[in-house]
Amino acid sequence: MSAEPLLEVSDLSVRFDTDEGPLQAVDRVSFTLAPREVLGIVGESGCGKSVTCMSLVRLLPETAAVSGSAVFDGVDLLALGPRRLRRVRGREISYIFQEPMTSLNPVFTVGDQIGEVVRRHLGLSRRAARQRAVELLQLVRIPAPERRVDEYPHQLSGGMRQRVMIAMALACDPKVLIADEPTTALDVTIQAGILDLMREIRERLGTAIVLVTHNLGVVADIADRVIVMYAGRKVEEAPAEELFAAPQHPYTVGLLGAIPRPGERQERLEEIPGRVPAAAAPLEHCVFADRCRYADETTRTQVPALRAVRRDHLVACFHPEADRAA
Amino acid sequence: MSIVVQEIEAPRVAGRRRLRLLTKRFLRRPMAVGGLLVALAFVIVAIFAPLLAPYSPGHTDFDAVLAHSSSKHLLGTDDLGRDVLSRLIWGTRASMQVGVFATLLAMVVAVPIGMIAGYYRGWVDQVIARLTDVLLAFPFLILAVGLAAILGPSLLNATLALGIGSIPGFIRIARGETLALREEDYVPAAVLNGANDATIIFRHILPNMTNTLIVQATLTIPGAILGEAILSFLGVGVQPPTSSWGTMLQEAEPYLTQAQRLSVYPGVAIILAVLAFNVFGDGLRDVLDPRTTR
Amino acid sequence: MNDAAPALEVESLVKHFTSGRRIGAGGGTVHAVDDVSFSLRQGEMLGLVGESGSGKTTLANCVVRLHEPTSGSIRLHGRDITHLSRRDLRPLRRDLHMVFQDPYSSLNPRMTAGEIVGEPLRLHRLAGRKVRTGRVAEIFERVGLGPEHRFRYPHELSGGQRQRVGLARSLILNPSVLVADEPVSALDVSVQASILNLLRDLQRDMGFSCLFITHDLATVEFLCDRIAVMYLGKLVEVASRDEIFRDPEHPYTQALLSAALVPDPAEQRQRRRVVLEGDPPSPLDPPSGCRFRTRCPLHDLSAPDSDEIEPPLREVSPDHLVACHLSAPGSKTPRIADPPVTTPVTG
Repeated sequence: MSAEPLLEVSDLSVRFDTDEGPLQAVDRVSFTLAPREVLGIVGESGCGKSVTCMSLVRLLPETAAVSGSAVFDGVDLLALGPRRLRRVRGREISYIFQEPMTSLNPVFTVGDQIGEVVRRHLGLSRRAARQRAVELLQLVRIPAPERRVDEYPHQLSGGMRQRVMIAMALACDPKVLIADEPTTALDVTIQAGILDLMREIRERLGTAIVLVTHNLGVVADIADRVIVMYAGRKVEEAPAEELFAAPQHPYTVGLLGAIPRPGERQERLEEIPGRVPAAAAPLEHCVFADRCRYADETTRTQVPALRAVRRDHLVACFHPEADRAA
Repeated sequence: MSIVVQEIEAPRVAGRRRLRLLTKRFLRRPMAVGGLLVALAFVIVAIFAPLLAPYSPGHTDFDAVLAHSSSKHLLGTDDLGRDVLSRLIWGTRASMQVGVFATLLAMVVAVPIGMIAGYYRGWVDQVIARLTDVLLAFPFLILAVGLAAILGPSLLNATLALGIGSIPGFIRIARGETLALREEDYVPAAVLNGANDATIIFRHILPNMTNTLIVQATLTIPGAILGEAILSFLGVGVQPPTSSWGTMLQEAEPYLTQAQRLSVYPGVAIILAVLAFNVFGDGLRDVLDPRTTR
Repeated sequence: MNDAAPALEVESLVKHFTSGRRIGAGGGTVHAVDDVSFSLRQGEMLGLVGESGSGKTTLANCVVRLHEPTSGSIRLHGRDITHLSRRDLRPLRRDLHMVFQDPYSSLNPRMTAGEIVGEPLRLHRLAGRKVRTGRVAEIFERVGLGPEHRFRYPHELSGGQRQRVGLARSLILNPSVLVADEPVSALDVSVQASILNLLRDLQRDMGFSCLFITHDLATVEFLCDRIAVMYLGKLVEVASRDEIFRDPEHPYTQALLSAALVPDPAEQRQRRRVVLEGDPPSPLDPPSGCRFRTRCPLHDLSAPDSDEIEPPLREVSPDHLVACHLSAPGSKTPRIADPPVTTPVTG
């Protein structure tokens, strides 16, 4: 991607102040998002992927201390005042959540909720807003949109509600759509439809998408580039095909080995021994060290820097797979 | 296709950790701490009344009637020359007794009823729920006053009346909790283990509602304290010469213009006690709710 | 698998719930399970696959008699347990247990892991305290938990550990049938792998028959010998694992397979796929005839039969049952999608 990046995140760190002491949720994560790109952020629960994205739109609670920068269209999102932030949220950068059930207000019709977004940001009249809502429902392929626009969330199925959320997110034609586990709560056959829709959105509207998920299959289906996160750090980054063809970080290898692969006979799934560490402060060593079979003195005492071990393929590891492939 | 559970390193210390955590959270709420301390103070005064009160509650001193504060009588005397401070202290005992025991009575009777309604549902639930609704339609005090009038005035009867008046509220809470808890997977798991209904209700459901019950109790006690004051003031509760905050108010009423202080002292006691329990109960509810972040 | 009598036989099982609300047609009856018949063979791992609304969880609850079926029969080792009273069921509870999906909700937060796992022994009065402790320690080790975990409360355990406790509890009495209702769906990917491996090992060692319920086809492919697919309360296809993946007949099975994502971008993006249109119908008002017809990509071919007549579940090839008008012995349904196939990971 030679174009100017839409979003440039540098050294983003988030620390929570919890009952049990501080918790470093995200540790110096940097990445860029190019226009029209689908960036997949993948990792298991607790890796910090959702927190990273929520910090970009400043959705984190008071107890979170955020540092670093996230430059979007020339401005640092993390330094914006509340008024300017409101203009960006929903209009330039949209966010959709995992649970469509709780993200939609049950006492307002679908049309009202979509309409609220366009009226606030684009100043449209009620009538124009309703028209736009119908258009958007059509865009997200909801059948009979003129009827659906007056329905309440409980009258729609889970998949439909997620489409409504997507419609709301696209209402003002944002440059970036952040989708946080958009299909996790949906049935598999419905998920297929949503992923198709997201692909279509990227093609037709040119929206860049940041897709957060724990499902490597989703990433394989739709992502251009993938970032793998573990314990708050970015441990690997590569174009999707490259990542799956030649995973470098032992965690990525382990993760790929852990999923049962359809169409293949397997004796055992690969297990990653141990558990994710919950750090109070940034660890001064490789975060994966206590679970890695290649751990040694170096990994237990130093933090591996991100470096390119193959073309367009970054990994933060002292002993990536490339060392063993030779 | 649901929320994924965090796979974070499990902490090493056992159950006591939770208590420490809760204490920390509690200590962050100065109002709640204050409430607890004041409430405890009242409880202690109630228990140690005989040791703390300088005089017995019936001790009269006809030389010093309606006297102001003095070294002999720190808060003065009432119309019969009785030491106000002592009566206040003994009154704490009566009022606390009614407050706490009425609540306990309500809990002991209401919780099993509520659990049965919530667990078995069907017609049992319908009957209990509707009866409870009928009782809840009466304002608490009207109910209590009515019951006290029927039973006759005494400390015991006041306790009974207020206890019975508090039953519907507890039934509703217990029923609601039971309805929610029986949907947890460990209930069918217990059925599969071969547990009978009694085991499930008492070993699986009841222990998980204690938090809610404790909070409800701390919020019911002040209602009962206030109720006693009102009952006694109206003459259908504790009877003179027994000293309770309510009877003190009743006896002070004719002297409102001459000696307002005789009304103020018990009034302040009531306010403080009710406030203390309420504030403590509120804070406790916040602390125990897993959804509050601090 | 052998020719011994099946561990579990379900015949024409029906479970309807009356919904309190009155909504349009259907008069408020939820047709959760409608006329389902299958058998769980001795020592087999049978996968039951379906999405939300398929009735798979209701079926599981009926099989372990948490619910009483509306009609039909369930036989455990030949014994009819369909309408047994609670008291008569009690001794059978030793032989039949379940693992639940939600690691938070399946364990009583007020009991320690050791107490939870020991409860079956205690309730059936099978062992005094000392022996109980021994058995608990033994099963803990079997499920990969350390002795110190016995004294921990559920909130002090991770999701994977909690599921291990759930497994230990259900297996401590050595049941012959275990129903696993989405036991790994709420866990992280790497943790799922260890629990799935564990389940497979336990089944091999202990020899129980298992009904494994899930929405994830990749998991059943790894774990199960035979697979049954459910849609809106009915079984639509039952076959061996290899058959289902190699030769899926029913259009819904094909759609499910099509929707199963392959972790290989090159492969995944060039697969021929089918995406089902429309909303899944409500179990309150299932479509007449073939319940899948409202979303079936092959509806044009099967109409008008599929609009009025329910397709029976019948054997179209050895040990391969399908409920579809377009499928018959000797005649296959058209293939509407490419089944998932992965090329091995290099590097």
